[in-house]
Amino acid sequence: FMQVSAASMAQKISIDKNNGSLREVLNDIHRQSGYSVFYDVDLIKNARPLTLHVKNASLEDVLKACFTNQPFNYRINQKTIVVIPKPVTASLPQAEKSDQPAPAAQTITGVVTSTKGETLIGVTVKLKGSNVAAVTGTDGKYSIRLTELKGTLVFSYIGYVTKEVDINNQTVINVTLTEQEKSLNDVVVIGYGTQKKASVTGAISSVKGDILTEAPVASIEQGMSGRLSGVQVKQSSGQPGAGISIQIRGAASIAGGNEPLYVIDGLPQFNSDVRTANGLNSINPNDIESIEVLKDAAATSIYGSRAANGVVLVTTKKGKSGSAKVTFDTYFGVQNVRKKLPLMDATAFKAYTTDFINGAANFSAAAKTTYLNELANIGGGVNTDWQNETMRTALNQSYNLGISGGNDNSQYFISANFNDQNGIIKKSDFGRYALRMNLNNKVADWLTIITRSTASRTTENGFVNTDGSNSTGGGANGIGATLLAVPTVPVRNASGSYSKVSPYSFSGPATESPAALLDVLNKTTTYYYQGGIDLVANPIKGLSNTTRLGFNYTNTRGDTYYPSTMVVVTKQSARLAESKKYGYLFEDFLTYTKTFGKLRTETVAGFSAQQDNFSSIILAGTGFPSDQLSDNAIQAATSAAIPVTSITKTTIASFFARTQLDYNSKYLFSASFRRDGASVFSDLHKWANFSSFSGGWRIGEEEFLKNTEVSNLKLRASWGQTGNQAISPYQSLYLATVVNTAQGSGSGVGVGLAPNLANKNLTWETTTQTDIGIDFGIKQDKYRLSLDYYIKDTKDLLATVQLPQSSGFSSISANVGRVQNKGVEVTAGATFVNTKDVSFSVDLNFSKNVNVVKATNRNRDILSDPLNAGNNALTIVRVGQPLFSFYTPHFVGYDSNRFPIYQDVNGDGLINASDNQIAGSSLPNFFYGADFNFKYKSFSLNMTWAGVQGGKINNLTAYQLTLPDVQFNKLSTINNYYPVVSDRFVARESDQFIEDASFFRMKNIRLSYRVPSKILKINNLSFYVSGQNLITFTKYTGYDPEVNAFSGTNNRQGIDYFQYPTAKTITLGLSATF
Amino acid sequence: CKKFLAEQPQSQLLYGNFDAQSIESATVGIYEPLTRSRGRLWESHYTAALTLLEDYAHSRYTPQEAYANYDFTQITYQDNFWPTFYQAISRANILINVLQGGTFANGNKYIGEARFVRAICYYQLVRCWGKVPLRLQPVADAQNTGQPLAEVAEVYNQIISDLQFAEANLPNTTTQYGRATAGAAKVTLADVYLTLARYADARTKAKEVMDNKSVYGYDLLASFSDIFSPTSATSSEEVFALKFSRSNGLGSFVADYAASINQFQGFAAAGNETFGALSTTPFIKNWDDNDPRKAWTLYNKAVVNGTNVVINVAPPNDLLYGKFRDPLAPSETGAGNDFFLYRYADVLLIFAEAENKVNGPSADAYNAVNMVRRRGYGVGITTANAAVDLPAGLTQSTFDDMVFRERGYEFMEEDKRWFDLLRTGRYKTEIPAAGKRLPPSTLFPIPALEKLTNDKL
Repeated sequence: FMQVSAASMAQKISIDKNNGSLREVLNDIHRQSGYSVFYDVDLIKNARPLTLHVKNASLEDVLKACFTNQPFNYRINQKTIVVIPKPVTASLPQAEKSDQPAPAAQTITGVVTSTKGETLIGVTVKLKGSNVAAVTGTDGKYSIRLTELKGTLVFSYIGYVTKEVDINNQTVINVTLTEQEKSLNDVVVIGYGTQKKASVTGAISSVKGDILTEAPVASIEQGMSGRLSGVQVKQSSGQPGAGISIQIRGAASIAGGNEPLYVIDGLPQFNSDVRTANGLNSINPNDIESIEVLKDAAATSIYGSRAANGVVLVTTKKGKSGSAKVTFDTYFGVQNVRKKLPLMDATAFKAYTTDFINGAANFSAAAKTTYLNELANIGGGVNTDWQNETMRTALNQSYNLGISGGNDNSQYFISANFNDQNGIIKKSDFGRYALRMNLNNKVADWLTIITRSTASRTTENGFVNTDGSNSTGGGANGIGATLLAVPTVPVRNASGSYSKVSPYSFSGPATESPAALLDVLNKTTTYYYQGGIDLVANPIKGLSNTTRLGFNYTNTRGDTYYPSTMVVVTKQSARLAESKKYGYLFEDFLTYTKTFGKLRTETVAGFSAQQDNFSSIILAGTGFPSDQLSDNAIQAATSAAIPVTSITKTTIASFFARTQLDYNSKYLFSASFRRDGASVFSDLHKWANFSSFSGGWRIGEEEFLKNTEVSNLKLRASWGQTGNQAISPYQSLYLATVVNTAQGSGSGVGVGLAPNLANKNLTWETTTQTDIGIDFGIKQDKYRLSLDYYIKDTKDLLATVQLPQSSGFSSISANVGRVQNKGVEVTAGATFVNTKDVSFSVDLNFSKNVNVVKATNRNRDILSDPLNAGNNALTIVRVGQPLFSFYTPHFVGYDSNRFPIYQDVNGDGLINASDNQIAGSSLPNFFYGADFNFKYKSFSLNMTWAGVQGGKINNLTAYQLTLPDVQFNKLSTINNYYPVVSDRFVARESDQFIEDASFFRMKNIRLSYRVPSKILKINNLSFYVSGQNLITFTKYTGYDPEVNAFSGTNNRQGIDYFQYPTAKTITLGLSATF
Repeated sequence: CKKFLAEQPQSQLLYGNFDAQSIESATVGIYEPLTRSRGRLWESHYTAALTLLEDYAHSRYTPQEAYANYDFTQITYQDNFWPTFYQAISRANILINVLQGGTFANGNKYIGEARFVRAICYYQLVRCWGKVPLRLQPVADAQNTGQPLAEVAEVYNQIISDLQFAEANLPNTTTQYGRATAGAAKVTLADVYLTLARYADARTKAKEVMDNKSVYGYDLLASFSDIFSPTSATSSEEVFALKFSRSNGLGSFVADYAASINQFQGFAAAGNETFGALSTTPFIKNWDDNDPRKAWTLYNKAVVNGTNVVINVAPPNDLLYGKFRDPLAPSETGAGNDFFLYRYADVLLIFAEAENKVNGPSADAYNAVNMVRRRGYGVGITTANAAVDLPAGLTQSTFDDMVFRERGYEFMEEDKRWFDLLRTGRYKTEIPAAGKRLPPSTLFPIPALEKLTNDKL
């Protein structure tokens, strides 16, 4: 039907043609001007040959020259040139229609509008089976003269579904055109360029910014959750601002990181940017134009050494020429805890404890008497629900203002965002102030400057140590303290001080009062800046050169202060950690587009250099003259710790190239190459090459399918390699790490040097991926389906090879082992109804990934560290099993005493680490999502559901809360684990606590009302009410199945260990566009 | 491009390019694993474990109690001691390797220090595990890291050879307190000989130190409790100590591990009560209440708001250890008390034991024990005191028992009695007498991780 491109190019046109076809000339204009050109191939068959010699003429002049003496006209609408038939109106009687019967006597008029109510300009209105046609004017009106009021009018418009209306003696026919679904003319962002979706040969999932922010998300990744096939978004905890991990097509690396590469506006982020410096939290989701997730090697290979885990391209909005457009969005939300854990109340606790003490084999009779007295006397009738004491109803608010506009030469997009999310645990919150300014400026006909910059400040207050650290049996962790605190003590003593929550002499290691922990300052403040300048030059026809300078800067300050109200933990203990990270990028690439007959080619080649610098300072001390100083005056500490500072630098240099061939819009081929050099490897292994090849066949464009209901059918296949170099710097050097000890200095502080173990042989992890895909659409893509099958083989795994500890080193990073991921991804969508008043569409996605370890170092098992010294290893890497399978004793049942029995694998009569067995893994069997969009007149209803099937959670929270002792409070469901109250058996971390992680939840539901534009002068005003996590189906007994206590630690995935609970939220919002 | 990709660490040094300062630091680095506050070695679980193995000790906690019950299948803390010793050994091996491969001023002094640390680590390892991998070279690459178990005698031979090199090459004294000296090497050697029942050699070494105590700067401190002062930089009592500083993360954990969970002031920053003692066991029951060492070392009372209150010690114990106390420690990891591997009292008691074995309960043997006792009772060290001194006329065997008992009183909570029980064979009688079961094994099992990763085992 037509052709499109959105590249931005010079507007001075030069044409040198003798007897050329209009089609060729229009193609030239498109390439030189960057304007998209749409035409009906059948229509311009009648075009007259053109002879045109112009140099540096204006677009308008050239177009005028082209269309003089042609049987059609053109219109320009938003950088799009539409070829339309010459209107057959009263004012323009058609001489060309001399073959027509007698002069027409009937006129039909009407208005063509979009489903959004906008009038459409330039819609072609044609009598079916004739050449009689008209075009709508600026008011959307048309007028067509016919000989009789019979037949069918065909309304066609680019980007909209063509509509046919029987005339049936009507003289006024008003028509509403609906937008084409998921138009193949959409442009997707790819590495170092953009591409028409129709021409894509790789596996790319895309989500637009407005979809991303449909739910009130604080961070981009939350909006991606459940929407993209092959992309698993894992939230580590419910704490506002908490890290989120994303896995694309499974995990492959043992030690090298499994997070994708993020490329924000062309600036690849070093892995640690996103993982540790809160990089995505710092970005305002409202600024996002689109997110593209590159999944297969065809798409990712251009990013070479960092692309093995997939690539997420984040593109921010830019201004459009036209009058200023102001958007304002705000919402206000209320959050409540989704679920509380069933803990014992004071009565149950006393009953349990009494039973336990009475039956205890390890307590003497005297001790039992003492204990029972304490139990009776301490606390009295108090019944404290510590979960209630620390949780609250939390309020959220967000304000976002965006202004965009510009003229043909300069466009701007400016936004300001304030986001304030309170957590359902008191004192926890996340806040963001963000500003953005994206400017595009055409400084000369051949040169455009594109600048993007954003600055933000985010703050995160947390409930102390929600990272799952366990310095005092879980009690130093806020959630841990809440759950472990006994219910028989009041929050405060009569004196006003916090009471001790482990008050009995039989209590366990002293646990801090959760109420006291709420007083602790635990704040992270991040200042973030990212800026970039692209200089795009078009020196000659078809060639553009992009010079890109990128810079980002992150300053993170972590404040921790334990005031003197602490009951157990060290009072007046301060820690100030400040880290600074800056990175810069310089790259230059050429893009050359040329058409040889039916073969369209586009080639990109360039180089890139990037450096990342990190430095940190950690200061700590205890004992201050006043709590007011908090951690702001470490010099006032009576005992200051030795400051710790560090500085590291990482660099990458790259050369890359890609060529894309498109023959007759049917046969597609693409090849890419990247050569990367990374500082983190020794001189032997600094450089590596990565390449990919892919092809596509658009069967839908073949003649035999041309006039069928099939609107799109494409086969894709790709093969390629990518790498992973996400290891810490300096591992190939023999370094001396500074260690502190008092040895050698008497009572002061001495400095020692500790040698490390260098690995000169360390090299890239290489992932080879094959992908076969099919895209299918019928009825103008009203119904659409995409399928992908992939096999991802990762070899030379960057693994931590455990060394015999007698070597003096516990491990070394080395390239050993192989992991395979293979899987299927399906996305399907249907637009069942799409009229002016009613529309209903559903989009589904499904992803299945099978992960298996193919080889390890000498095919030995790799065990993770236990969570607490003296316990089981948590996970194992074993050939033939999924990565990081849980490894634990198997709970068999109960013996005649109703004590738990564990399987004695080696039959030695003992249950210990050698009886561990694999007990599943955290990796799901499959996951899926569904989006429902329903609209009736001014109301629309959207729902996003997401689910995970299979996969396990190791519920160590439950393990800790059911230990057969009287040290802490317990789950009231302890009987489900241990049916008798006794100290005569040993409870173990076992598969009894490994639970099914499956869930299906309504992530988001939103009902919105758009005030009809007739009522208000402004373009768009809508109100909505939405809810998040309102419905969840799961068998998981912990706070939430979407839990990941150690989200940044590869070998500790899927563990629930005193995690921050998840909230459900109700939000009211308003969105306005002026 | 090559320069752009070159790595130049800024906050770390390249190991091996030593100058006069960095060679000192590289040497200090060898000791560091043994002094980590949360490294769970001497300062915390190692002492907890070795104390719990003694006859009178118990723990209030489930896994730790396994040490008191000699059930090493139920506890794996010992798996953490192993890598800590070997980390120090590895650092020693690496330094020795570098120093032997080049020319460095005072190279043999540094090699001597490295060999000293290596010796004390193997000495701990061989007594805890028996046969262990004897590594004397750094691991060369990531692939060939296996090392078979060496016979116990072979390990001891290496320990002796390392200590002999150290005594020949180390200075007699140091002002960098905590660094190894010739005296420390000799005393360690005497102790090793004692363990090997080479009494004549033990006697000779101990006597050599006693006869030249001014050369090494050793003598008994007048006050027993002053030895354990959290603020003292060093004292004449110190032969070789792990040095701790009253500073977060650089202090000892022992005070905290032993202190009451109810955190009575005067002992530690916080309390874990990980190991305690039972007053009804024969050894403690028979300990003279007039011996001030008893009240300093074991307690169940504390002064709260000026009044003496009885501390509710969690069963099965009724006594807590108070030898190491630092009430002003800024945190759990900040107690300033040094931990002695050897102090001058060791020299005297090693001598007394060895002398008695060789020459019977001679006047010299009596004098050595009595000096320790008199100091313990706070009376004149060089003045005979019938109320304090050992009774005259003991048989050789009874005298031996008395020295064993004296070591128990003097060194309680200092990681000695379990090894004394083992090397003298007394564990067979003393442990059942205190109501515990006879240890089915007196050696820790080789850590599972070592077995998994060391293909030469």
